Amino acid sequence: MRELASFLLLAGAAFSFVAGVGMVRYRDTLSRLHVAGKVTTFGAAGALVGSWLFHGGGWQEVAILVFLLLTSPVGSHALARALTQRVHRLPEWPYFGDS
Amino acid sequence: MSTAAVALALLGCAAALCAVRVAAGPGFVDRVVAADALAAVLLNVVLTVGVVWDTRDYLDVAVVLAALAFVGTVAAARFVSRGGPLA
Repeated sequence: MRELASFLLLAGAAFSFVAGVGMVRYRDTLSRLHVAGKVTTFGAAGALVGSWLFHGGGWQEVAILVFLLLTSPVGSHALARALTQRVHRLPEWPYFGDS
Repeated sequence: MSTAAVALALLGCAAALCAVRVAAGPGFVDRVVAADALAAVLLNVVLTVGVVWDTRDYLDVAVVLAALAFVGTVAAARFVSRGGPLA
């Protein structure tokens, strides 16, 4: 069980790293919002399940996981809705250059 | 413990990259998005440190961190939709 917990924690850290790379590499706001809404949630979910298995149960991990799965789409949607209400034509969108 | 070192190194790199985007984001929403991702990475760090030190004391910190990240994101979205500066 400790090996599975270690694997899940490492997978969550790897997904968080991928999210950090995407946060720097993606070049417009809605793409970065896509990264922040999905990949970081998946990484945190992996770490939560790993910690839950390592500690042998507990209410905190379950509460955080349910809260995160409920609130991460709500926060991303609120930000995207507010941004597209304010900016009708997004800057540099579509963008065909590199880097 | 080597696995924990690798995980914490990956999380440190992720936090540094999110901090780069917070510092260099061209607009307000970019900084908010990056800070939201940074909060999720910090949640991951807190959970990993709790496993490494074999203690359950930091799970309460994780609960508060998740709640504060959501409240901050929604407050920033309200700020943007009510006409705050976007730059």
